[in-house]
Amino acid sequence: MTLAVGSAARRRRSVIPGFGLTMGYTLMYLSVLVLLPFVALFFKALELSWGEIWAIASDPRAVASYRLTFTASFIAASINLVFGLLTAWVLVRYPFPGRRVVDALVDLPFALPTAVAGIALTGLYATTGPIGAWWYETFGIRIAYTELGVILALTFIGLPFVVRTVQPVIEDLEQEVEEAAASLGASRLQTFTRVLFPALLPALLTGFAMAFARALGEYGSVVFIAGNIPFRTEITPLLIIIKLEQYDFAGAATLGAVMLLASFVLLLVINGLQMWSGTRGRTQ
Amino acid sequence: MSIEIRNVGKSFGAFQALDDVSLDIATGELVALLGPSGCGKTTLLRIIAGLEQADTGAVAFQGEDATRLDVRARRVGFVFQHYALFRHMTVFDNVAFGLKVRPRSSRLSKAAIAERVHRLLELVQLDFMADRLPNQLSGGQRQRVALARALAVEPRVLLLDEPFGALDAQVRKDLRRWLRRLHDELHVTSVFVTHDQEEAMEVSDRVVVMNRGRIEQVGPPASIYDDPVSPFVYEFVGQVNALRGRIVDGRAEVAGVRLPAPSFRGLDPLEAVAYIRPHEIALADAPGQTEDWIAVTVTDCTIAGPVLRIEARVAATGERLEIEMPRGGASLAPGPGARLYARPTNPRLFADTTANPTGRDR
Repeated sequence: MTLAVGSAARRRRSVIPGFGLTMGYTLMYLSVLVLLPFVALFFKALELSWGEIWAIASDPRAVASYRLTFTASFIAASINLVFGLLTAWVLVRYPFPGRRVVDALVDLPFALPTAVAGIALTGLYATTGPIGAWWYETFGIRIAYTELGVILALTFIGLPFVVRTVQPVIEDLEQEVEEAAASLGASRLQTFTRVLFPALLPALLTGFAMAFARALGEYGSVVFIAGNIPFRTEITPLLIIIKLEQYDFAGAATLGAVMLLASFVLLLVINGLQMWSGTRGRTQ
Repeated sequence: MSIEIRNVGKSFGAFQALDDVSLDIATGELVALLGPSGCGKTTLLRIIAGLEQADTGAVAFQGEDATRLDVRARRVGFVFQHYALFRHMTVFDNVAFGLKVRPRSSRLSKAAIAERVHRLLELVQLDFMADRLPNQLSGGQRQRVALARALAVEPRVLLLDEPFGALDAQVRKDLRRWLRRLHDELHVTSVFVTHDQEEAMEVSDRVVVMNRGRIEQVGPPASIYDDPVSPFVYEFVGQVNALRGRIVDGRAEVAGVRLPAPSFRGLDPLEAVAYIRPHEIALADAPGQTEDWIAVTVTDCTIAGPVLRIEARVAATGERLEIEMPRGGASLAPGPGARLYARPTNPRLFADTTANPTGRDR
């Protein structure tokens, strides 16, 4: 295997010289920055006995927090999938005054300290805030301090991911392809579902995966708007912080490890989906 | 299916892309829209296809008005310069696309679709590529797939927008011959856009020369070349010498000689330009009996395969004159500095529109 890679690299002259050097650097970099902390996390958790680990990981309060974290993240990423695609489409396809400003706005959730976002969202959507009050009077539903608030915050921070991954792909789509589909008799819907959507699908999945992953780890913006009611609106990162504040490092590491494993499995599944969508054209 | 275009006009903002264009295309004809970039040829093609709406005028297929008909309903096959293939679909699925998107009531069975697709792929000689993706094909192959895809829906007319424009010279040459043969086989009414006069001449039954949103001339390739109706067509189609002069008394004084210009009698005196094809010039060592032998000095002489290409300077005016003749005809090539006499055998005179604001000609 290594032999094959080495000889292939020797045959093809690449712009960046020294396959061995660059590969070594890449592995080193990933190990120090990513792998090492993960391993440390597992070791920290393993200071406890398996029984203790199981007790912490399967604590009902923890399980409730997993459920909220994953479902809220999934819903938020799904919302972003739809509206991120729409936003990217509008930004690429329709020239309108102030397009650059709107384009810059998309990145704001990246730049803003998430705690600030959380405070701002809470101020707006609490029953004392302007939108929250109106919403509560009209529909009788609270947004802040409920699961809805969690989803709202996670949608906010995930917005840029789908837009920024899909945007270049839409820019790359030739308008002629749509015209070709129309001249062949395809309706607008058929053109979208059969021609445009398959071309966008890999980028959409990437954007979804990134938004989802980001939402899983989000802490700052959620804690303000969630209200942190045990069993209802506590997210797992919050439980980890609580454990840290009690100097229960091993317990925090245990919850962290659970999150990590689950996220990893989910991202693998999404990656698999992406590969499937990329090669689907070939099998017919 | 015949196409009638009536007084079509189209502008994009302040730019007048088409200005009162009318054209009839007969059933089974292969017509080339020829012109420089920005002349409106692609806009006209897109209006025929329904991809663009005319501001004024009408388009009809077989006498039936189609001006407001949506592109989906027009049943035209459109081939794009950059192929516009569906990248995530195989060659087979690309060609089958138009058949698969039909409403269920008029859709063919799976087997019938497969059969027709394979027949079309055989026609474009790409049946063995059915399972490939477009990016695994060469440019020429992609364009053939695009053509098969357009033909799959049995279009009433086939429209091609610079179909060979993105290909390299050799492939282009092969493909245009192949397109001509294909058209002779299928007889579907076809219109293609090109800026390459050689391509237009070689492939089409009729050439439509366009300039600045207007049609300059329509005719069979030979008549476009032999009998251009305007200076623009002269200069756009083929090589030509343009000599400036003046018409007085029904005769044109050009390059120090007099050319007969009976049709200008009564309009003179008039500034004029004489257009002379390089191969429509006779050369001699001494002037003949007529008064149209131009004294020239040879400046350069090159042999380009079977033709002898002579560059000369007109003695009286210093204008450049290009002369071409078959090499077999000239026993020896004249060297630079040789003094010869050149007689235009088929000159055409046009009023010099840059000098005469009225723009009258002939």
